[in-house]
Order: sequence, then C-alpha cells, then structure tokens
Amino acid sequence: MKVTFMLNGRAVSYDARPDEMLLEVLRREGWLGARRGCEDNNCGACTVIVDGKTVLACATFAAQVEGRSVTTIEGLGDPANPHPIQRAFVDAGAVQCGFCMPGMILSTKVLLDETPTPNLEAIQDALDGNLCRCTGYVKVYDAVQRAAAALAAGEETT
Amino acid sequence: MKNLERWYYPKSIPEALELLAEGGGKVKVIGGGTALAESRSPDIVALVDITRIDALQHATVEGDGRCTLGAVLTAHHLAEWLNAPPVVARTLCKAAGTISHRMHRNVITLGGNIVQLYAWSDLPVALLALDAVCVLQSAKNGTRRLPIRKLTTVHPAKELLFHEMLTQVEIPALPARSGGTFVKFARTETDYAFATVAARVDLDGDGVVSDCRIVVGCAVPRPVRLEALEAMVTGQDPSPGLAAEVGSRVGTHIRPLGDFRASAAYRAELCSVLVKRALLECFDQVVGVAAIERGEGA
Ligand SMILES: Cc1cc2nc3c(=O)[nH]c(=O)nc-3n(C[C@H](O)[C@H](O)[C@H](O)COP(=O)(O)OP(=O)(O)OC[C@H]3O[C@@H](n4cnc5c(N)ncnc54)[C@H](O)[C@@H]3O)c2cc1C
Repeated sequence: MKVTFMLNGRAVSYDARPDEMLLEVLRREGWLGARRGCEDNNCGACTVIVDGKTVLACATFAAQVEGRSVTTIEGLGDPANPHPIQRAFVDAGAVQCGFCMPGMILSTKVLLDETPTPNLEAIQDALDGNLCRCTGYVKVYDAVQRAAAALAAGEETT
Repeated sequence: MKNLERWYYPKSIPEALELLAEGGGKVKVIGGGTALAESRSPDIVALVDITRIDALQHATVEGDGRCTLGAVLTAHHLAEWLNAPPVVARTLCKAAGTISHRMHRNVITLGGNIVQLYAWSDLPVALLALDAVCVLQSAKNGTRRLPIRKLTTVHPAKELLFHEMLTQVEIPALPARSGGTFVKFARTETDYAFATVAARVDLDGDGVVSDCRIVVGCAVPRPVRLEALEAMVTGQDPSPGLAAEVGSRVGTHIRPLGDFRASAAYRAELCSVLVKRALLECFDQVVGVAAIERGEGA
C-alpha cells in the first residue's frame, strides 16, 4: 500500500506493508535521523513528531500517519543551519555519542512549543522517555533551558 | 499481523460500525496502536483507525458534574484536562498522567486502555472508583451501556462482540462532599507499577461516609474493587484509625501476583499501605482529618 503524508513540510507517498512500522519506512526512504535503538518502546531514539505530538516511530504503524504531518530531526535544521535547540545542545555540551539526540531534540521542540519557559520538573517529564547512556542528563536539562532562553530572545528558527 | 491487508479511516461512528459488522471478526479497531503494534495475530485482515472520528474526541462536563468522554481521547489529553471535576481530576486524570512517558501518553487511547485490559492498565482502576459506564455501539445490536465493573469482571475483550466498539465513557455526578485519589508505586516514573490504588469517599450532610470505593490494580491480574472493605468504611466517621484498620485488612482480600519485580507477599503489604494512604488522602480532602491528626485543629 501507499502511505501519503506531509514529511518535514513536503508531501510524500511511500510504499509500506500494511503491518510495517513508521520507523522502517522512514529509514528505507533515507530519513536516518529516526534512530533504530531498542525497537521495543523503551529508548526513545526513534521519536518523531506527528501533528505536533511526539510518538515512537518503532511503535507506530506507517499507516497511522496517513494524511498526517510528520517531522523528523531532518526537518529542524542541519549542520550548516542548525535550529536554536540543536545549537543549544551543542553549546551546553549535552551531545556525547549523539545517538539519542534526534529524540531528545524533538521532545524538546514539542515541550518548548507548548511551554516556552519550562521548569526543571516539566523538562524532566518531557524527556522521560528519551534515554541517554552518556550524559547523565544534567547537561541535557541545561541545554533545554538554554534553548528556551535562545528562543525567547527571538533567535531565528528555521 | 502477517495477514493484515487493509486500513480504513472512517470519519463517522456509523461508518466504523459498518466496517466492523461486515468484517466478521477479521476487521479490528485501532486506537493508539500501542498494544496492536505487538500483535502477532494472523486473524486480523484489516484495521479501522478510529482516531479521525470527530464524534469520539469529546470531553464534556454537564451542569450537574456528569462527564462524557470520547473513546479516542488520549492519555495525554486526559492528564491535561483542565475542566475535569475535582474528583475526576484526582483519580482519572492523575492516573492518565502516570502512564509510561509522553510518547506513549500522546497515543494511548481511553478505549484501547480499557478494552486491551492488562494488569498494569491504569485508567480502568480510576474508572472503577468513579462508577464509570462504558457505551458500546454496534451496527447489528444498537447501543448498550455496561458499567466498567461488569466489563472488567471477566475481560473486556471477551465481553465485547466483534461488531461492537466502545464509543464513550460516562462518569456519573458525585455528591458535593466527595474526595478521591489515585496512587501508584513503581520503581521509576515510566516502569510498570508494582501496585496502584484508586479510592473515593463520599460524605453525607452529617459528615458520615455515605459511599466508598477502594480499587486495587497492577498487583492483581485485573483491577478489583474491594467491596468488603468499602462496606467497612461506609457508615463510619472518617478517621486516621479507620484508614489504618481498613488498610491492615487488604492482604486477606486480594491474591497478588508475584514476579521478578516484586513478590506476592511484598505486593500484599504494599497494597495495605497504599490503601491506607489513599483513604487518608480522601478523608483529608473531605474533612481534613489528616490536619487534625497532625495537631493542626479542625
Ligand atoms: C512499554 C509500554 C508501557 C506501558 N505502560 C503502561 C502503564 O504503565 N499503564 C497503562 O495504563 N498503560 C500502559 N501502556 C499501554 C497499554 O499497555 C496498552 O498498550 C494501551 O492501553 C492500549 O491502548 P491503545 O489505544 O494503544 O490501543 P490499541 O493498540 O489501538 O488497541 C488495543 C486493543 O483494543 C481494541 N480497541 C481499541 N480501542 C477500541 C474501542 N474504542 N472499541 C473497541 N475496541 C477497541 C483494539 O481492537 C485492540 O484489540 C504501556 C504500553 C507500552 C508499549
């Protein structure tokens, strides 16, 4: 079957088996920013945004996004032109191996869209499902606060 | 689901019901898909995605406090439901906010959480304390209303006919002096809980308990009301002593599960403590007994 949806602002129509997961389809089509981590609901590395809400691409059928709007990390920014959230993560030293970063940053994006000045508890809650085995999270929380400040100061978004 | 061939995206309830009725059991509803994502069933040939049906998205409170909730409301929506009456907020909405993490709460639906009833399903625990009624609709049989109590006695998946869909949940109005809570004990915020408890206490005009609900979840295969203990509370004056007394008896009224997370004996003890705390919290909400206990005066 074909699944037709908006991906990072462009209309796409991809082949998918009816029982295939969104993560499989995205990666096959070259969107490798959605990471294949545990593939079992646990790590959050495959997080993508669907209609403004984070979901796990490993636990979402591709067919569930028919007609919806999907954002992967590629839709935020790239090394030449990073999104303020991406820049804040780098500046805060929150990126080590980087594997979990797409999920972390997309969860942060939704958090800051909904709550521009989150307190620590709100940040922790928003990132609950995104596991990082390198940083110990302290610098990640710091990065989210920096990102919030940068966005509040009107830094340009892509 | 190796035989899955088709997806449907109906815009209305009748359309969805028609698809189920014609499907003869091989066509299933999908809500959030978090449980179906794990399904290995060879019997399912088509899925009906009901999350785009406007008539299943409502969360309304009537003037008298009655609530009606559409079946595809997500756990996140319930957790953030600002208009919920106080006791609903302290039970159902609190329970919804404790489910797993945000990526799951964004998709898990009220209907899916009820129908695919696991030991760890949190919303039915709260709904049992609220005397919720589930509305089931079918193209063949019309509409029937089943109390959540009835739906969870066996298992919802057995109770529902293949052509039936859970369309909404109704929560009756509660008396003015009513307290409620949901408590969960888990290793981490996102792990399956060791035990959960929901409780509700209604007071009459004389300050005597007129009705009470005590529900245990997670520690047992399916959420259960402890009716013998509810009866011990009803007709009494709320007091810390009563909460402790009822809590101490929980172990003899449940048969807890034991697994690698916690033994059955540990869970029984835990449920005792959680029931005591839950009752104390309810009492505190309705008469402030905890304040009296702490010596802060009436
Ligand atoms: C890792 C993980 C951790 C979790 N932790 C918790 C937890 O701590 N607490 C908790 O409560 N839940 C938890 N859940 C969620 C729970 O296990 C179920 O997956 C979830 O409640 C199912 O809801 P859904 O909307 O995704 O259902 P779906 O997967 O869409 O459907 C499940 C079943 O219900 C049927 N169904 C769905 N909606 C309807 C309807 N309206 N009418 C008739 N039939 C219907 C479907 O046909 C299917 O058979 C967790 C899930 C995962 C994956």
